[in-house]
Amino acid sequence: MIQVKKFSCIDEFGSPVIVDASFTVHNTDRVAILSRSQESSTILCHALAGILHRTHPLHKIEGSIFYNDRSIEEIDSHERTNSIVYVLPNSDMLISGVKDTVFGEIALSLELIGVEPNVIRARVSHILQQLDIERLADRDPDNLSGGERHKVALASMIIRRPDVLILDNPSMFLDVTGVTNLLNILRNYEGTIIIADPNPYIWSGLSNRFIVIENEHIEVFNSAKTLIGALGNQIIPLELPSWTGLYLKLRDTLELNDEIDSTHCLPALRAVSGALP
Amino acid sequence: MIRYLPHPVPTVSFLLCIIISGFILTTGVKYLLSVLLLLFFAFHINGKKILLTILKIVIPLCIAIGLFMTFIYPETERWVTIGGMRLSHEGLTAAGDMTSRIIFLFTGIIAFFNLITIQRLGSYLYQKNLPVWLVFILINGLKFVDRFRAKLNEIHFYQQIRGMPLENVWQKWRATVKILIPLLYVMIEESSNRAIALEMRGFTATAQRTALQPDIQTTTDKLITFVFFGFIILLLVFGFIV
Repeated sequence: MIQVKKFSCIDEFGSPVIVDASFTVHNTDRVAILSRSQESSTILCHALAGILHRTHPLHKIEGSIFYNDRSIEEIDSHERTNSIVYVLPNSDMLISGVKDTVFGEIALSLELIGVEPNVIRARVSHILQQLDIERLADRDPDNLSGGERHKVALASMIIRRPDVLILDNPSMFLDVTGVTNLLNILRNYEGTIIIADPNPYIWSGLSNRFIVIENEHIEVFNSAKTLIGALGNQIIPLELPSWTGLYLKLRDTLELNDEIDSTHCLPALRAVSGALP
Repeated sequence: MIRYLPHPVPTVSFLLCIIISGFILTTGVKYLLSVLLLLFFAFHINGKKILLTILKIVIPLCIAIGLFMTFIYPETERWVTIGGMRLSHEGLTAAGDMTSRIIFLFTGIIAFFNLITIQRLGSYLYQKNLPVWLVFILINGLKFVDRFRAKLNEIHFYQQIRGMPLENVWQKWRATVKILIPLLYVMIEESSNRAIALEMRGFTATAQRTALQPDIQTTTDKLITFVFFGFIILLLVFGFIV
């Protein structure tokens, strides 16, 4: 369980990024972070992963974040990375450089935590199959395309099965099949999942809670129904195509027939038409 | 071409052999023979690539050193005139020694990196239970030049798309100088982000590591290591005493 208490973050120029946020993420939650700016959702992800003070050393941070009733700052990096894993969008960074095959690269994540070789083989084969990248098993991780590398990086992180998996912009570099495969893996994932993605409608079927960052303030919606109410009533403006997409997707999922004010979000609707999965 | 891909231990012993012999071997005809032998050996590993690197980088460097030393060698006692030019006799000898050493060392180091991949070296060091952060520093240090070059090429590519003339070496050089410091800064910043990313991958784990494919030395590997180390001992004994 992650508890965020009165968390604020101000950037090095004095502009607030997140102000006075308080919420709790429970063990079985699947949380989607919706934000107009990619920066604020990334900062929230870093804060939840306990690395914000290192990635943004000049930002002023207030408030506290607790993981299982212990301050996240007090948990050492070894213990933290065993339980909370943050998958950053730049997959290039996640490739270790010490393995010459994709199979070895993914296996490394388990070798590091002392998993037995026969278990490693089975788990790596399984995740390669799940992400449909078996054909890459013998390839050099340094000679892959951006999308392939991203899939390998995702596999390397998910295979460790941490208690909390934080995915920052996971749909970047992924094709439709890649997104569908990832979605299938996450559906059966046993831990907590936190996803920040500029295309939230992709993950709407997976998420049961929504954190919306609007003008530096955080609002938490505990169900799709409460979020759709806020979206439909323009409490959250729908001018972003991706948010309109989310609204439409949720409306379809919940089988609602309420109309949205098309004059308000016509350009966004136009942009999103055809982009919905 | 050599089909045998050696284990990291004989490859590292080969590099040690090159470095030590580069400094100990006597100069003159014997030395020139050893350079030719190494060039021949290197050519059989990845001939074209190694030869091109030598031609493009090492030979011009040697010519520059040679010219510099033959004209203004400070400890000159004898001058010789070749083609109307007054050249230092001691400078010529010293330049010969130095340039052959440079060719020898460069060829050896290039051959080393053609014999082994950085990943294989990293994987071996990792399996030897070296601290993961140390393996990370070593491997990323070795990869830094490659990454820097790739990033530079990428920037040049985008500059060209935006209409910057980058056709000849001089234009490329000028464009490179302008972006050198910001690029280095970006690369250093990227290294710290990479450290965080790899921490997220579990590089700080303290559990007893396992290995999917233990890197075991074959009899050939052991034999080659033995030969190289034997050669190093011979070099040390005969290089200093004889």
